This record gives sequence, C-alpha cells and structure tokens, in this order.
Amino acid sequence: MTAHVEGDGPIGVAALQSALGDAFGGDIVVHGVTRISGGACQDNARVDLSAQGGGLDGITRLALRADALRSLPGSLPRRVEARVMTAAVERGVCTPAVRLQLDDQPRVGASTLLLDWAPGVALGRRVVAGPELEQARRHLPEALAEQLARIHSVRPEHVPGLFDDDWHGGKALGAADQRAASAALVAGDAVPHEVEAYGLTTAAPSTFFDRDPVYAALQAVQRQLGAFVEPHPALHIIVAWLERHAPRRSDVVLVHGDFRVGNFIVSPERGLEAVLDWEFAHFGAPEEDLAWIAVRDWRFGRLDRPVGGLCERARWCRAYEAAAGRRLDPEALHWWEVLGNARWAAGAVQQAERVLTGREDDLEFVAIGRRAAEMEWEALRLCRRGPPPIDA
Amino acid sequence: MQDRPDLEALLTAVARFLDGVASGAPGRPLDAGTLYRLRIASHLCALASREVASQDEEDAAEVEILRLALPQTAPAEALRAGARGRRQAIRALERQLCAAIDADAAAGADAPSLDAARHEEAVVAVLRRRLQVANPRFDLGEDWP
Repeated sequence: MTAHVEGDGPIGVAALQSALGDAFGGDIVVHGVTRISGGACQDNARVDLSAQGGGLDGITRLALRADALRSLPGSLPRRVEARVMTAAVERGVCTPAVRLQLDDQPRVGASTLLLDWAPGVALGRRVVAGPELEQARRHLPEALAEQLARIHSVRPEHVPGLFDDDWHGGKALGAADQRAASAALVAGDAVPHEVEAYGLTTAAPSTFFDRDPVYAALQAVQRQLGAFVEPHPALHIIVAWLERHAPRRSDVVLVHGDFRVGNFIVSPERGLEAVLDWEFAHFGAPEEDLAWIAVRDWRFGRLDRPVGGLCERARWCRAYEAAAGRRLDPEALHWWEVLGNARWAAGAVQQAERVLTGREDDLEFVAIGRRAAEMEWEALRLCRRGPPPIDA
Repeated sequence: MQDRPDLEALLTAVARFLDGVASGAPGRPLDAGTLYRLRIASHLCALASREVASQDEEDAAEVEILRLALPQTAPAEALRAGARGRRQAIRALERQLCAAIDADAAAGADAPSLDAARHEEAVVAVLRRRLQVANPRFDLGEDWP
C-alpha cells in the first residue's frame, strides 16, 4: 500500500496522521513521533498513536523508517528494502511487516516506511550480557539459525526483479546501468563513468552479487583498498590471502547482509522478536551471513563466544545445518569471516573519509576511522591461524 | 601504520563538535546522540594525549621495523624534519611495503617466501604497537576462538 503525504514530512505529526487516516480509515490520532537511534542511511522514529476501527484498529505504536540524506555504497533505498522485508515475511521470517510506504517523503525520490513495532532490546551489549535477557539467550542461537535458514530459502528465481530498483547516491539506477556495472565489474574492466558516479565502485550492486558471490565480495574489498588515501599494508596481505584461499562458487540465495547482534530485537518474554535492518540485503552466498555474525566487533566483549558473543561456532553450525538442510564447509566459513573483518576495516576507513573529504560532519565517523587497525589485526590473526574445526 | 584521521584532524573534529554543543540553547538538555558523541570526544582526546606522549618513540620504532623489512629506508633528513616529516617518510616506507607485499602475492609461491614472512611480521609488529597506543583495552591475544 502506498500513499503520498503533503506537508511537513514523514515525521510531521499532522501529515502523518492524515496519511495514516487516508490509508487505513478509522479514527486515528498520532500522539507523537520520537526519533530513535538508527543506521547510517536512514532516519528511524517511534510513532505513538491510537486507532479505533479501520486497518490499524487497536494499534498503539509503529516504527517509522525514512531514507536519510546520506547513504552508504551498497545500501538499499527504503522502497527496495520494503520489498525485501515483504519477501522475508512471506517466508515466515520474524521481521516487522511493512504497513505503509510513503513515496517522495521526506524528499522527492526518497521513501518512508511505516512498520509494525517490535518490542524489546537491540543494543548489542545488553543482548549479549544483560541479566534481564539471560533466559532469552539460552535458545537465541537456534532461533537465529532458524531465521537465517528461512531467509536463505529465498532464491533469485523466487522473487524476480527484487532488486531491480537499485538506487545509489540519490538516483535510481536503471536496468541498463546495472547491467553495465555488473559486466564491467565481472570482467574487471574500468567502470563506466556514469556507473562510477553512483558509487558502485566500492560495493557491488545486488545484481552483481548473484553472478559469483565470492568473486564479487573479493572485488568489492579490492576496489575499496584501491581507493584509500593512506597505505594499508595489512589489508594488502589479507586480500592476497583471500585471493589464494577463495572457496568455490557457492549457492546463491537472499542474504540479509548485516545479520549480527545489534540488528536483532530480543525480549525477556519471547526471546527473538525481530530481525531488523535489511538495507544491505542482496543475493549472495549463505556463508556471508553465517560468518558476519562472528566478526570480532559483533561479539560485544565476549571474545570467547565467537558467534555474536552468544555461542561457539559448532553449535551455530549444527543449528543452521539442521534448520536449512545445507552442509557447511568450515574453510568457506573461515574465508567469509576473514572477508567480513576486512570489509569492516575498509568500511571504517570509508566512514572517516566521509568527514575528511568534507562530505559530512559527524564525530562518530572520525572515531570509527581510527578503529580500522582493530579489524585488520583480527583478519590477520584469522589468516595466520587458519580455520578452526567445525566440530570443536 | 594508520594515522588518518591524523592528530590534527581528530582534534579539529572534536573542537568543531564541542563548539556546536556549546552553541546550543543554554539549559536545554542534551539528547542521547549528543551525549554519546561527548563520550566519543572524550575518548578521542585521550587517544590524542597518548599519541602526543609516545609519538617520537613510536615513529622511531616503526622506522626500525620497516627498515628491517625493506631493502630501502627513509632518508635521514626526512626523519629529522619534525613529526610531520617523519610521518611522511613512514608513509613512503609503508607504500614500499604494500608494493613488496603485492609482489610477494604475484610471485604465487604456494608456501610463503622468506620475504613474505618478513613483510608480514613487520605488519603485525607495527599494528601491535599502534593498537597499544590507539586502544590500550584492545585484546591482542592470539588464541581467541
């Protein structure tokens, strides 16, 4: 369902109340719109309301998620994210349903989504160590593995055109441009100027990942490294290791792209409530999601529990294999974990560059840039150690 | 190994942020995002303080590590040209190290060569030193799962 809001934007109470009334009918009063912390590419808010009759009867809270002014290479616009979330909900994934999509809000070309509200805790340290979630954590790895198996059951042929509306840098990328980008990146050619302008040289577009996810992910990191102002010898070693140890082409499935503690809502009552933040979803290798949750920064201080600070790898792999019916290769998982740390290191450098080149002004990005060395250390440590046995 | 954003950029960003906070309406409570960034500002000031205190020693150690790993070393005059000159010289050495690492990879040997092992040890040694300054709480243990 889509609607168009005139007035003071998606977080304007009056305009939002009017849009909800038009879309759902009944008697709706919006009591407040409160900004909440969000990601780098969207503005999130909590919408408190009362509704009698109509499609929102009895609903008291919704989540609002709008395209922010700034974006990161590879991140999806909200209107594409909405399609991905809907596809996931249809597969039984516990992610908030999209109630309403507001086009051209908060700006022309952008979108705002109204989603079901998921109650609970997302903050990584609380999910990993909060005493109120002790009971919820007991079965969390199995619940997450079950969700991942559902996500990975979606194949490109099930949802043709899911990512056709890829959008970068504020402009829609046409199908011809996407094909040009994919062809150039696959061939290792120079990227056409009009594609470079969309920022696709540092993160492969969704359509590209489904050709060969391993190669695409490796190329994306190589291109990031090539664009750095400062030399990063550690990343040169890591990329060389990734080239030497690249696994064979894997299955191609829907990948969440940021499946990690911090992007899950957990409650004391029901455990896993929701999987959030689909902005980096794409078609790719299932191992990418399975290893990303083990990247060091997502363990939130519990280095002894490699899978998101929650459990050991063997338990995680057993749970996923049972849920997905897919046998995992420990060497491939290890490769994706090295790649994940390298990608995050490169991402940290890029975050700082957003400020250093004058495009944005956020102290957090400056600080993140100085953390790249931590991810480099971890990726090097993993390269030197080799894959742990999966049944350890 | 990595000092971008360098000290000047770090402190400029902190000053700009604090100036913005100080320019806010008096008496108005700070929102959660601003409080979070105040903690970041404090962290960056502490990092800058550690770097200033250890810069000469760290630069000298880094040059020595790179000198042992590479056939060429930084020109002596660059190393005497103050902190900025030293960092530029170290950058040049790091670029040499990147090229040497790429050459190791291009050689394509199945087993790492002695040169490759020496280059990797240099990278690890420099990373270790820089992390100890940048984030003393970062666990440099090798045995985590």
